[in-house]
Amino acid sequence: MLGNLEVHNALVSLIVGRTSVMIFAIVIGIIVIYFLATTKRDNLPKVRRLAGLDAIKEAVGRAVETGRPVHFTPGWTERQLYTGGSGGSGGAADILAGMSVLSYLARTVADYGSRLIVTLGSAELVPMAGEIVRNGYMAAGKADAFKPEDIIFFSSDQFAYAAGVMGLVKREQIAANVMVGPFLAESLLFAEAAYQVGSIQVAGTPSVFQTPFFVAVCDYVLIGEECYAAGALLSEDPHQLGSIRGTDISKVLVVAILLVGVLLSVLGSKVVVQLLKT
Amino acid sequence: MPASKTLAREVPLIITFLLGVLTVADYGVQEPTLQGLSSTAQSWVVVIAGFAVGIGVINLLRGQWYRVKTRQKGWYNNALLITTLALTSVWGIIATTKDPTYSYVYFNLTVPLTVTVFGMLAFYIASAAVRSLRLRNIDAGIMLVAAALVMLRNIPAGAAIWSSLPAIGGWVLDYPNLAAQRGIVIGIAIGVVAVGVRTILGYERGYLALSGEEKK
Repeated sequence: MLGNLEVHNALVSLIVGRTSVMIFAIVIGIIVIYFLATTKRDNLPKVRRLAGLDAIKEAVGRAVETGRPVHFTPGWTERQLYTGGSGGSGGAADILAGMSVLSYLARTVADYGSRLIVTLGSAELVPMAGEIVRNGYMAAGKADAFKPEDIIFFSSDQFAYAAGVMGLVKREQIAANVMVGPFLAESLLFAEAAYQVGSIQVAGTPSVFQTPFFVAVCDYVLIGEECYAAGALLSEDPHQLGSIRGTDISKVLVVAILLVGVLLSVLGSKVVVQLLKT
Repeated sequence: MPASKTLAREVPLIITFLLGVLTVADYGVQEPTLQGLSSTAQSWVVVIAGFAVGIGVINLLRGQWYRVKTRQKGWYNNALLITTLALTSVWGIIATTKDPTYSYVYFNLTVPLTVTVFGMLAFYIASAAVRSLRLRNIDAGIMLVAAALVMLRNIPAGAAIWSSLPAIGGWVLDYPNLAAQRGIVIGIAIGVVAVGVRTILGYERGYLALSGEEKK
């Protein structure tokens, strides 16, 4: 019996090269869970407002005034849907961030009585986006205003999708363009197409390679982790707002480890570097 | 709350929790049972993705047909898309995608069109750069100088003007730029963990498309 247990234990081991990542993930996870659980309405953290999120109402208001539609896209998500991401992108987490913004946008558009067009580059997202928008209209008491044909899947090919979105933006003369998700090379194509029709643009992507394009063209931009905070901010749920405090404390921890590592490296010790490679 | 609504809310949360914990554990721990379960879950993903292609085609056809039926502006383009989709699908199924004529159409129509859309990026980058590099304030001035140095690094004229220019442009890329990028990436990594925790524990529910009442 003991022998069998020992054999089983020998088969369980941490994967070399991922141990430090797992430890970091667990420690950060525990910090986030602590603040998720302990934050209540009476001890809410003071969270900086994100201009990009505040601008969504302004953008929808513009759409109502001009009688033109609002457009939302999470980008070409086909490659990010089942991955951990790359190039500073968080993969599937970016899509979740985009869907949180879509949820808020749908409610706002329905409240204001505008029209929302959602374009998608992954067929898998069609039912999810459709239900999110439908519920936004239902929450505003305008279920009849929801049009399933405004949830549009063009193609899972990146540039076929991009061409479809650019054509739609021009044809519909969209008044407001909201783009939050894992963008790749299509980011600038969408942003420029919307700029050419005079749209007010709110964009956000964790991808460090696409952020400069959004900064260059769009009116408001969510940079990096702001996209992940967006869901928590828009929910106004005390627990989720508490998780933002958890991420900030985690950042302080990481910066402290960085400083210790730099100091030790300057003094000739590579202890921290070696530990991070385990 | 009716039992069906409770099920609709709770079952996806339980599935998310179990699969989330399984995936995280499989990333860091080497254990045959865990790896087997994770592999099975990934097979489910492939099956679901297969069904999603069908959903995508139905969505595409429904939207395009609606535009044809209501004779919206440019409806003939939508009709062309439906016709092409039907012809390509039937042809691909009957003659297989290895058929020379099928491949000829793909490589001589679809691929060049795709590359053309990608090629438009070059012009859009130039147009966006011209707008964003206007000298409006100190911040824009710093960006203009940095962009000019990096551009001069990447063109032969840079080294011809002054041999040290490429090195200065490289320094801008490798030090201030990389330092800022890594700062953003660290924030993203921590943000992803936070989103993961919120999702696994059922706090982040935007993707579930619950109505406002159910979210609470």
